Amino acid sequence: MSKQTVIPFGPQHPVLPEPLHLDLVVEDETVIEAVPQIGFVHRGLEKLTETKDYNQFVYIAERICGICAFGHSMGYAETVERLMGVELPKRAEYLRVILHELSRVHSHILWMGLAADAFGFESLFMHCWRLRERVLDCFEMMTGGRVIFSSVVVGGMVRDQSASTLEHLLSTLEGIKDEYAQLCNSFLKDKSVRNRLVGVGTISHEDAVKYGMVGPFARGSAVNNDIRCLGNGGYRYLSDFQAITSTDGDCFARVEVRAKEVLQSIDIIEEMVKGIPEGDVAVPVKGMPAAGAMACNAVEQPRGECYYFAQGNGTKYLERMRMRTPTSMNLAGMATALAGCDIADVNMIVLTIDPCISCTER
Amino acid sequence: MAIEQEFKDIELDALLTLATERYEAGWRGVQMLCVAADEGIDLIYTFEKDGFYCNLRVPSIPKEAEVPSLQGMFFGLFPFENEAHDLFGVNIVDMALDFEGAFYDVAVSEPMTVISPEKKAQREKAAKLAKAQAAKAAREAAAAGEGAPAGQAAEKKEGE
Repeated sequence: MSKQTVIPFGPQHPVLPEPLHLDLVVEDETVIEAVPQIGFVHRGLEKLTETKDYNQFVYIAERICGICAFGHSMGYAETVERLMGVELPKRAEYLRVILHELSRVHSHILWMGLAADAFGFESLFMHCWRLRERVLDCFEMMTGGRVIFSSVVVGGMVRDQSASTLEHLLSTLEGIKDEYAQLCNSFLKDKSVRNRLVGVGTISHEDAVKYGMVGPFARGSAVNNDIRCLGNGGYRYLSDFQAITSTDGDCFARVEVRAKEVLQSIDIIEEMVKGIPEGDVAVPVKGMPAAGAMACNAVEQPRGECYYFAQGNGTKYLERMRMRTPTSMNLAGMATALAGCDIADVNMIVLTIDPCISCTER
Repeated sequence: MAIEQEFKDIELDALLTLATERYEAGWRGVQMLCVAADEGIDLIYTFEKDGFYCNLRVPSIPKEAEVPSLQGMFFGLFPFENEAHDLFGVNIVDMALDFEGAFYDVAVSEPMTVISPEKKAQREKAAKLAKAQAAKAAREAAAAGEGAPAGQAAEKKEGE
């Protein structure tokens, strides 16, 4: 009988973008069990609702994570707007969707670069991140920031976008599409890439449902749980939205889902820009959340469903603010996907859940 | 347009039964969170099915109460149950994956239950506001009540 050994993976590892520890119980080269451990970057941000009022907290929410910054600010603002019964102007909803989908494009291209780096395709990684720079330039043009935008407030958006800015955005995305198609060819058709991804880290549809997995990680196993299908917020103005899923459930399926979602997001941005109505981008929000009032919200962030909860206490400070991020929900599925894999595939499987530990720990 | 949602208060004894019903009916376990209330801890469990979010609140759990773990049915809730233990001191029993207090490395024990001076001031202000509103409502109700008998007396006099 082979001897079992425990190999510690992380929290510092070249392939991990953020600290995550796994105790890998291995027998020869096969992982028998993986026990995750987080808690290295817990900042206690939710407790800051005691000292930052509901208007100020949006700037804390967007600093939970650099990649999901806009998503968190939007999700938080929508939750408080629901709590206080605030109705947004239509133009503000369109702008939020445009910036959120641009965040998704940025996040997925960033992740594809990390995935390429993980399986040793350095030039592909650099091409992805070079393309990502053009998306960051769009953010800088629209909001003044590349990573943290501070463009959402409770009640709408901080600033409007001119027609010329939106036109420039569309032309930039049109230019990105061709180059992006070439990158996709490398990811989806290159034999050496497929060797590392196909059949690796397979999670069945039943397991994906059982562990409550969310996002592209779940959609790679044919679980359609895309919150955008519910028509939440500005997404209700889309003419048609179909979530992208795959049936194989392996690492390649997850790469495929994310790769296609980038093109879908670009199409969504084009539709929203062409249909954006004139009008205000914010409404004044007066008053305070009522004591005991509660509201929840869900946003489809690049990594999956992010759940928000807010409770008022009759003052300008929230009694409680909670963000349940997608990676925290996917940890159970990740541990399942690791069981039975080769130790050389651990880094690919961990990366394909697109872990965002900063979000998970807050 | 916001997602469909409801909030319902339940008893701690009913938690496992209700969670089992939802598990068997195919609901998805979304999350579990805690709120440090004036007395005890409120637990809120969220389940989702067909785009509808059902939030079950178990209000004012005392510190010594044993809360049954739902990891047997909803294993994905393990981070939140361990977080509830580490940050709020909730005593969750029979966890399938129990980090025994080592999930988060925190300097202060149960930090989310520490009442900061700002929090205390907010609660006192909210209590004062609620008291003032209740007093105002009582005054208005009393005034409406005094007005009715005077009107009826006037009508009676006219009738005579």
